[in-house]
Amino acid sequence: MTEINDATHDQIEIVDLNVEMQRSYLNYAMSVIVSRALPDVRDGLKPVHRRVIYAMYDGGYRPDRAFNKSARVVGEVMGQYHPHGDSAIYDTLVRLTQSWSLRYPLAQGQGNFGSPGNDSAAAARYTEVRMAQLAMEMVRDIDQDTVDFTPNYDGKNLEPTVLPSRFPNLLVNGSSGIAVGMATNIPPHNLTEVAAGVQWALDHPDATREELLEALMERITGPDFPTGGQIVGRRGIQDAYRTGRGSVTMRAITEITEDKRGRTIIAITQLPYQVNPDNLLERIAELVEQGKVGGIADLVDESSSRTGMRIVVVLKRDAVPKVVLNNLFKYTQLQDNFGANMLALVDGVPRTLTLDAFVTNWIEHQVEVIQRRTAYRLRIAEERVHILIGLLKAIDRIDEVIALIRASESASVAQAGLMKLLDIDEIQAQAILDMQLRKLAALERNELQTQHDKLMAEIADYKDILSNLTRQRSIVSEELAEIVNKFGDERRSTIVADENDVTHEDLIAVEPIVVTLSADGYIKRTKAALYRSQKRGGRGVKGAALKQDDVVTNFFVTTTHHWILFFTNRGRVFRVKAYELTDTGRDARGQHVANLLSLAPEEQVVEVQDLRDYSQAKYLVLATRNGVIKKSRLADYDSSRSTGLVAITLRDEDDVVSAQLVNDEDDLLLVSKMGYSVRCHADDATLRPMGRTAGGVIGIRFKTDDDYLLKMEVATPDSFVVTVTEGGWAKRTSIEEWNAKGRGTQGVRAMRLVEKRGGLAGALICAADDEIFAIASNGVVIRTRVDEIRAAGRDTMGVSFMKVGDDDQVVAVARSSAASMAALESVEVTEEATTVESEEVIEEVANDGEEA
Amino acid sequence: MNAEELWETTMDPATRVLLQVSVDDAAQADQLFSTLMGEDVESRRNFIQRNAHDVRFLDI
Repeated sequence: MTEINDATHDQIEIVDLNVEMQRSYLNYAMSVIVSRALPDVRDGLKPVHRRVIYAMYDGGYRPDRAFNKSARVVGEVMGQYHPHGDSAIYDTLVRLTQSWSLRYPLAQGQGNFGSPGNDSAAAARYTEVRMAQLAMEMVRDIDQDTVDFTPNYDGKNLEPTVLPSRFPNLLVNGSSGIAVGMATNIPPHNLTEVAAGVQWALDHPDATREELLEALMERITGPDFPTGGQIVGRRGIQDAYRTGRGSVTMRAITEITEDKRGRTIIAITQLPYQVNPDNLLERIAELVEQGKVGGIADLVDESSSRTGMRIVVVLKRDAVPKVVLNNLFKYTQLQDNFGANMLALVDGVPRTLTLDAFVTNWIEHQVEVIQRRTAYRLRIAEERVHILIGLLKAIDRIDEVIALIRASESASVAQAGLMKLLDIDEIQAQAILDMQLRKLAALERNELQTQHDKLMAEIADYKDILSNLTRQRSIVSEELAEIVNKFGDERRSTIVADENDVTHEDLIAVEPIVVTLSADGYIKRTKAALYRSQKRGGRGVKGAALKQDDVVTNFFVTTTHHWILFFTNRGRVFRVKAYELTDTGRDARGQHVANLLSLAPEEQVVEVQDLRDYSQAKYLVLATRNGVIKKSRLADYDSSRSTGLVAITLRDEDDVVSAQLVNDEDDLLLVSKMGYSVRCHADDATLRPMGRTAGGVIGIRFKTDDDYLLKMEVATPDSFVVTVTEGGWAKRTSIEEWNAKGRGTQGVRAMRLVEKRGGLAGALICAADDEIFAIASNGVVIRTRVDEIRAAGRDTMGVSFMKVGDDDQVVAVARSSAASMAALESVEVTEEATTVESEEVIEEVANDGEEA
Repeated sequence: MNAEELWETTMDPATRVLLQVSVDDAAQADQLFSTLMGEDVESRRNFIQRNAHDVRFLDI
């Protein structure tokens, strides 16, 4: 400390804190920004990556050689290029090998390189590495003066300032890093897609920035994460591509299914990028413990490196799978965001990049690589030609040359002599002297001349390339195509539309489809064309391979863009777009409605309606078991709520039994279990429209306490009321036999019932050419055309229709409408016409009442 | 680096340079520290961009 006071020696600079702080901070910040945390736009690498890859290449740790200890590579990188901590270098190396970290790994590992969970790689002394095959493309042509080199930190060596990067590594593998005052986060992409975009750019050098961006966004559909998963919605992707920033929502791939013991499970097979499965499990367990997410009975991690990732969430018996899953998406990283903030160094300056900037910068780099490589090859060829010319001259006078060399007392004398004798320069003379005499004597003129001519052709070619930008671009294009052929693969992340995305529907073609719902609750959609082809064989259409005893109770033709409304016994209505239903073949069973809708335990779907839009009918009428009916405006139900919309407030342990769309002119027919029926107008005078959650008014009064409402139908003109009893007796009666009276009466007989024939199992309004299915409790199904059923008066008993045993009874009656079948027939015409025609038919069915 | 080398390059009073830091304007210094080391990333980024061309020594 004494020296400080020794003014004669010390130089003391007085600086202001402000100035020094600014200067030091800037040095630090800029160092981190330009040479640590941000990737170069050309090769997509940060310095440490570049050094690791170059050191592996330079050190011979290549894919065609045996593996080498990681510690050796780390030592090489640290000793030659990267004077930083060995653990940082090893971590970088480890990450380059991990198939869940890099979309296209740049190093191959041998040994324990960790897991996506909390297992880290073994220490560097245990593991072995070498370059991945693809990493060779990063350094390809690096020895042909394609990139600049700079002295390393101790000046003993040279290192590349950028790698040739013969494929667009920055977009393909992405990058992330935190610098000072700025950070970057670039998602990985699919090589094939990115290359397709690049190829377009190469073919259209004159495209404007906007044109390029549009063309690229058409080809590069979105990020492609190494861990697969789903990307939900396109808006975040578009933001990121257009502005350089955007939030991409990622979701795990999950499946609601059953395990061997019949328990409902959610199987998670792919996670969002950078989500740690171990932490995720802990988080779910935590949420269950805190009671934030209910319905989970057990949590099992079935992942292994051999079978891949699989986390099983076992649900409680009464849990609604969709609700549990939604909660998991909401509270855990099962759904996560990738905050794209695409920053990279362009000419050493950090820039936020739009999608087109990635591509143009990479192409510019490649063109430079090709130019420099060609110039290098040209130079080498010219040098060789120069020597060949010397050799050719020497051959012409070979005896004199040999004599001159023999006579010369030193090499320099010989050189000078040769220059004079053959009229050549120093380099040529030296080349002749460098040859062994034996070889020189054996030189053949023809061979040399061929070599010379071949080189001259090459030189002409190189010169042509150098003067022709189009050729340079086409070379880039060809060489990229080779890489894609070798390394291109399928996209791993699927991109699905966001439920709230307006563009969603635009992606789905309007197609005629058949929707079927079975008595046990399995629903599916099938392309209408698939039914049509089957129909030709005969009159039967086998709708679904159902479980034994299950039958299709609802069957209708609609289009993918229609709404499907589900009415439950608890008075709620759910809606989904038809395209959201599982699309299967004719024979498949489909998906259970409980997995599609957030149904409560014991809640059942009692009615399904398809709807073009909410102006298709004016009102919705619901009818309950206790005989209450309620009319409310259909438009009131135009709201998406995944938990369903309350359509009626039920009183006294009541259940909804029917739901129908009606207009003012329509009549309703209510039929009770004991065979009584009321026909009433649906106009506002008879049935006042009420609010969505209102309770309703009396539609039918029952003569006995044990009677209840079985079914409400819309009375269409020229139709028949088909009634079937539990004992299997049936008849059809013209609808004209019912007169429209007021509501709230006890009604008239729809069928005369006697005790041994049971109560009514079903009552339907049908056209003469409709078909009826009757399902018995023993699983037997009978199918008949309506006009084959005995026509009889209202107050008659009907005829035996279906034989059922003493212990069995008819449990359900369903209708397959002729109009639906006709709609199917119309599918046979051309594609375009089909859509229209089948839609028209559907409208007719729905609006039949209007024409009355 | 050996002790001898450290003496020659850094410690020798005959050749070394000492910086004596003084505070002329404490308020301004406080402001600067807040910008450079505070929570507000935006103002830090602005500072860096504004002064990037003044960088003299890069640790690459």
